[in-house]
Amino acid sequence: MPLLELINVSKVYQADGGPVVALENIYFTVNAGDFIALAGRSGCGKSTLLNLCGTMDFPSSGKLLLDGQDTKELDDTALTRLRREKVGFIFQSFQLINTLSAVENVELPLLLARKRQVRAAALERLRWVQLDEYQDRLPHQLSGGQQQRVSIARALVHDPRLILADEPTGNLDTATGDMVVNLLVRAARELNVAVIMATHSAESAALADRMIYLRDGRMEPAREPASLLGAR
Amino acid sequence: MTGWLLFVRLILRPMRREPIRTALTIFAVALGVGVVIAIDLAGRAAAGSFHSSLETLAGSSDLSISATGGVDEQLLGHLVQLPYAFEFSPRMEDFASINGRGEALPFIGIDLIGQEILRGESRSLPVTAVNPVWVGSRLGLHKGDSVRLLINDSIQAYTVAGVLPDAKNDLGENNAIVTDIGLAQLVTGKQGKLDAIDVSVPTGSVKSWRELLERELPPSVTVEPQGARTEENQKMLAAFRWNLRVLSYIALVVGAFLIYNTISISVVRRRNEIGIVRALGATRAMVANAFLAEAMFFGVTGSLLGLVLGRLMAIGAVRLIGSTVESLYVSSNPAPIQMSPATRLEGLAIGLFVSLLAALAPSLEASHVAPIEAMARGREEYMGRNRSRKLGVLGIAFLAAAAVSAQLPPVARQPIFGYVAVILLIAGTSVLIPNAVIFFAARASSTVRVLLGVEALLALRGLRASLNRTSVLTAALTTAVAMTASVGIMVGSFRETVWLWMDNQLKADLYLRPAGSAAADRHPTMSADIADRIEKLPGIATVDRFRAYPISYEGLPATFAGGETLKHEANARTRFLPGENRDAILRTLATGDYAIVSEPFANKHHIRPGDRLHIPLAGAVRDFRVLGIYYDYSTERGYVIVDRRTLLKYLPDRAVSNLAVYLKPNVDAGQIRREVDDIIGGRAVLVFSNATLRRGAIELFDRTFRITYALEAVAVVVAVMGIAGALLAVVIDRRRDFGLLRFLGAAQPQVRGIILAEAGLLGLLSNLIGLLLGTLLSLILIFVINKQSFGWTIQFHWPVALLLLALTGIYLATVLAGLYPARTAMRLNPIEVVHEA
Repeated sequence: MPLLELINVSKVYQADGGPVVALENIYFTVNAGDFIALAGRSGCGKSTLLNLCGTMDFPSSGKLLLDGQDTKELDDTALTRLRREKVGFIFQSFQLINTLSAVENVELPLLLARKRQVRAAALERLRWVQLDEYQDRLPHQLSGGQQQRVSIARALVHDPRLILADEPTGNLDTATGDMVVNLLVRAARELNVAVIMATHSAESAALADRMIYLRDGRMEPAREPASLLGAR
Repeated sequence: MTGWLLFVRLILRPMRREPIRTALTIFAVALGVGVVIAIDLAGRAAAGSFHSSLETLAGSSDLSISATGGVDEQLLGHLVQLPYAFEFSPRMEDFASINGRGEALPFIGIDLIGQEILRGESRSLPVTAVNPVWVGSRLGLHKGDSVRLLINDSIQAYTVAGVLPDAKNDLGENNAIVTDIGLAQLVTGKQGKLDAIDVSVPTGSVKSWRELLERELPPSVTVEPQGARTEENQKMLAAFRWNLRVLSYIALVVGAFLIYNTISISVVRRRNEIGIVRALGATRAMVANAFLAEAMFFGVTGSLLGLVLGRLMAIGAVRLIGSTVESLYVSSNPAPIQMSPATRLEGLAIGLFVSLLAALAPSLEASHVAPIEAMARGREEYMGRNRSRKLGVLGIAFLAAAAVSAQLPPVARQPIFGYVAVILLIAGTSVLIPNAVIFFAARASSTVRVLLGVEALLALRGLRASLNRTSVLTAALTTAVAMTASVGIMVGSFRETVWLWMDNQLKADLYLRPAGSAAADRHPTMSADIADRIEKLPGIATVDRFRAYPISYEGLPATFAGGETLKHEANARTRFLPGENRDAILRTLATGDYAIVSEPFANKHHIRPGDRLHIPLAGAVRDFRVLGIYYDYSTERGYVIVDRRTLLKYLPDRAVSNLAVYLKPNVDAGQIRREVDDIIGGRAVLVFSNATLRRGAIELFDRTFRITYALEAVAVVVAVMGIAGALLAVVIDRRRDFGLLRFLGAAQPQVRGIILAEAGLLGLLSNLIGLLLGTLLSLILIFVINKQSFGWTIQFHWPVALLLLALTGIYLATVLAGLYPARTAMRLNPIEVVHEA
């Protein structure tokens, strides 16, 4: 059974000027350990698709199955439970809570899930991203790359099965961005986590196993990630 | 024009996007202004009508002649023979109630023939009318009606001979009852006496005519300018009204905190825009003025609404204040509430001034934002500068100054430095609050997380992060809690003190007093034979007769009274100030012209044991040596007590104001009560058991302080509204965090829980600091302000149940104030808000 399965998923928003189609007939599956790049121009629907995959939003039509469960049939409580157990998010602008230290940010998903003995797990993940020495620092005391690594540790702390990364290198220089993507690749390989990474970066996309290319909300025919490098 | 555009675009438009928060701020100002106006209007109405109803009825006179126990009417004969063109109007004044129920109505006896105002009516007086009276229009009676009036201890039938013409200002005359002076003397039991003689003097200096009259009259008779008693009463009430007025400002002070907070948030949120408009050429003054205009908007709209609220609240307040004035000070006949243009202007000015003052600091801060700094920083959470260390030093300096100020003496009988100490204490605590929040957040973090979960931890960190905002709100709520706690402790201590005092003082089994309306300056009397006959009953151990007269001493109203001191002390136990020999005092008191004085009297007139009081009585000014000062909590007017024999020596009227009856041991109390009732017969005399009297006294006490509690409650409501407004601001400013939490697996109720936890922590912190501050404030209230204003010694006492109830109520209200903001946070769309910068 695939970890994530999208069957003819469409998303339509109601706007002042009439309905706007954000996604149309999206169809793909994701298995454990997959590292997928989600590419396309700004506004093509990448973030919308990630939000649907992370159960933060519902498809207007079609089916989205996460770990075999049809998200349309779940209420908010069940969706929250599914998300907090199976999904981890990484954002372009890191999205750490400014008032919490690095380790407190990492342990937050566990605390929200009412888990006990969370400090050890959080430190373990910080060690994994090689930031355990910075555990007590507040976000503004860390560099951009360090903040994004804390954010990766936070996304992984509850052992999710799917990581959704929305332009994780967008705010970083190339070297730091590469380090972040490598961490995501490592997560997929070592932890058997599926990663879907929205990106504008051809170099980052080239590291993926597979690429989904969106144009105006529709999937383009399958491309090899490396083709992006060649196309450039 | 540019300023106006800035105001509209920078302030008004964003304000419209947050209608609830805007409304809360306006309403906070409205409540603050409303309470001040209500107390002002009600205080003036309740205390502004001491003019004798007759003074207004009879037109203007220049002087008033009076004496303790009444002026001998033969003096009038002497006066009219003086070779000067004086006009004398003798007058009797008492109070009556219709059928012995309802309000006390002025009952006035005048020389009808001499009164211009009644001339038309008196011609139509039916010759056969029984006890004719003329009544004020407000009583709703008609000519020819029969009416039963209770005066002192008797109810009699009277015939309405006419209705008095309406008075424009109605300072009490529209509900007065007027009759002929002879009838008034008869029914009040003061035959041969006059309560006063009003004098209109010929042209020339009133002062020289007064001196002339004083030379012609015996020294026991006082000649005062008309209205002098009103002035005395106003002077006596000054401290009461002043204290009430100060209390009424608390809600406004709390409101000021909220204005400060609102403008601060406004400045922080618009740092970006400020930077941009400054870069585009706006001057500092333009920026500051835009924010001051925001405060002005809140001040003006809040004040206008406050005037309406104040007028409405005054209706309730005048009733409460009137009853306090009546029971503690002087007969009060509340005048109609009148909202003059000056009051309206005052309300607007107060609201505007407080709003602008509160907004000054954040507005100036806005004007000092450097264009580059603001634009570079972008929109960020308001962390504020770390000023906690400086504030800590300042706070400690304020507290030290408060401690010094509390030791200073009163200024012109007003506890000015006591109030300064209160302000300094509140200011000191307020500036220490950021440090308290930091301390609390640092120490409580792990405990809060373990006990209350991650929501509380996030809330606590939120409080710490937005220190400038939360500390202002904590200060506002702390002030409200502290004032509630301090007044609660003061009133609770006072109540306990009064209770203990009653325990010592009220030992008799039965108490009798005339049913006629009584007040602090009204002592209706009952026939002396009631006491004489009760004393002879077989089951009676003894009776203690007490008679009181209102007097004026050194320009302030007081009460001169005589009791059977030895009988009283054989059963009860009057407590004297420390160091005074009670037994020696009481042994001497009954032997001659000696007096004991109550503590408020001694404080007001700076009397010490051994001093001599000069009281005009029975044809001469008599000297009474003060033997001791005793604790008394029955009236603030102050008592001068002599033995009954001494009193009767000078004022030989044997009628009594109050009677305490002591039973022999093991007698049938029910049987005695029936015998007492038989003796009273048809006379209107009230009989109370010991327990009933005490209960009545405590009920009166509680009623007296109801207005104080009402004022505290308004301050708390304003503070809680502030919390609601601030939490809404928190939701808006931290919406990105709340959205993010949903991405990280937070359920909607968890997001709601964070805001509720923040409200709960604010409430907890405010309650803790407020209770501490309130205890310190209560010490100042009890031992400085009360002592200097009223002269009462109050023993400190914790009203635990009351405090628990009040603080729990405030805490729950604070948490409830978080409900709407919490719901707003819960309904945020995480996808929309998480990417907002």
